[in-house]
Amino acid sequence: MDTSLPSGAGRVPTADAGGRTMPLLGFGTHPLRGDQATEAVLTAFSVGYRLVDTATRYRNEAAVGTALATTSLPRSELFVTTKMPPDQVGRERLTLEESLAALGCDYLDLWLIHWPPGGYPGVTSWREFIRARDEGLVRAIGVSNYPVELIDALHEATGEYPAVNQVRWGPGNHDPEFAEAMRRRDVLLSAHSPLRGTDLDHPVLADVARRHGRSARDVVLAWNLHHKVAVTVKSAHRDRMERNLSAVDITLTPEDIGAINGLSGVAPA
Amino acid sequence: MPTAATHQAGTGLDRLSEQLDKAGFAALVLTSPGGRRYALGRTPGLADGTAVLLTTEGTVTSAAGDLPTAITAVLRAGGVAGGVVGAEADLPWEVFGQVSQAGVRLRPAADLVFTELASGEPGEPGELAAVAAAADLAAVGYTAVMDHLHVGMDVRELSGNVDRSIRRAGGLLGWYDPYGMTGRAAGSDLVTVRGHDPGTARLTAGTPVRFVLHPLLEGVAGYAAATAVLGEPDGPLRAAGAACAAATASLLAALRPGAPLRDGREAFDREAGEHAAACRIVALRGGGASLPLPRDSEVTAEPGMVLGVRTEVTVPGRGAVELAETVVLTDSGAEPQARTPLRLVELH
Repeated sequence: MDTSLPSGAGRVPTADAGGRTMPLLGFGTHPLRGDQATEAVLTAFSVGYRLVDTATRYRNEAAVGTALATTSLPRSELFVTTKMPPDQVGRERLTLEESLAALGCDYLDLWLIHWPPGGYPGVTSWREFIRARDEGLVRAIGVSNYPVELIDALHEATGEYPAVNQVRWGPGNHDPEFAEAMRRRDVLLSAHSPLRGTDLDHPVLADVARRHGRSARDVVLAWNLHHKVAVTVKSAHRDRMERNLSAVDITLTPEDIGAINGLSGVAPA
Repeated sequence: MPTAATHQAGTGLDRLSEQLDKAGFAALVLTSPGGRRYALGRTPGLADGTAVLLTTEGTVTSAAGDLPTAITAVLRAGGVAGGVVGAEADLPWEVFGQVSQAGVRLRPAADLVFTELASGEPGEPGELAAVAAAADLAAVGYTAVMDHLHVGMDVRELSGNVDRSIRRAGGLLGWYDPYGMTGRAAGSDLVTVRGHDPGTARLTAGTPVRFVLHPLLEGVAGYAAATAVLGEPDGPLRAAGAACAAATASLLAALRPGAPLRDGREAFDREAGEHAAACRIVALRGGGASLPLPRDSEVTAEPGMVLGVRTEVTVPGRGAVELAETVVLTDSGAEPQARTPLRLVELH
């Protein structure tokens, strides 16, 4: 291991995502564009991140692709996620080919349907996702922003659950029943916008952060990792990237976890 | 009689004044929102009015009120007692009657104004970046709509989603000024939504949902429109979508430097064939859309022009498929800026 890597690098926990080992802490690229996106991804790799998360919608796949082509890290050590927007129903293969070309990749590690198209499950697209995976163009397939009933509808239509469901997730919208529903279906829960919707100044977070000598932001990331929730974080600044990554070194106590779980604004069903 | 205010024009209007002189006009009357904003935007402190007069001597006069009296007022205040004055739009007969009594002749100057509003000022390298950023903001609004559409959705939720997303992306929420009457007006970046049940304001399956976005970013308006259907389109809707997409593509392909802009309109009409279809090309510099390019326009496409292209194919009894995009003309043709889908989007 490169001993110059900061705290946390090399110790990022992983989970199984449809047979592919997925780092639970990744680097999100929205809304970075152009050279700034390329430089940020390269910095993230140098800091120790190995998962990079982009999307057709972000309009930065080519910039991420430049970083993938520039880094000395072998492709096999990296995990590349991108997402198909819902307005591409009927154009799935074309969208995938455009993503692969922009990223300069032969395959994706994870390809997600970004939003339920029209609020429907998107069975037409899901069949194409399965076909792309079976043909080896993607290693794992999943969805984003899907409620349980739409995930079940995909399974009912095709016999296949998504490997991952990426949703807005943090202490403020923690929903144990939803998390359990994903776990029972072997769907890995992934968090985007982990800090949005959470009051980082809340006394509970402030207290936990103080006792661990860390920031509330770090504590939120550690809380996600404790729950085995994959989380993507974004920052164009190296020091912030390092700090986010170092959250893997925080071990929260059961009392900490219980207190943070209690911050949820989601009412029990 | 409305009160007219006169100021010396800024240097930004020098080129337009020169063009007036070359065309043999003593002055130019601007009455469209885009034209007024273009002229007054360079003279801080003046409120938008119903009529704005620019003279070859470089004075800008504005007056609010009903159109005939406002025009008469700016002609008088601008010192135009006789001669030929250019008008950017077809004006009502009352205007001609009233102006003729003052000894002034009005002649069309739509092409002159359109060229000015499309081409902007040389030596403003930041302007194209601002146009791209405003178009990008329209794309943000597009995403905020498209990602959340579902049958039964109240369309008022869409406005909230769009405004929140655009504000987060740096847009100026709620200062949309569609008519240029007051200078600023509260509103939404999502200008229109069609395709819902008018009785419940909720989206329905099968009816195309079309929406127009004009978010403002640092005085530049984004320009985009899109259409989606919540379900698999039936034959007539699919045909209208395909026709609109093909005709829009033809229009954009015909916008080549050196060719008349009206070639774009003609290409659209040819491709649309028997469909009930319409298109308009507007100039987008100056902070808002100009009047549409006239059918008989002689304006030639030039690199650096910023245009809005809006197209529509009617679906009998079901509304229409409507598309719009901001384009910058380059040596190689029209470059879309918002890059929202120029086709009927299917969501199912």
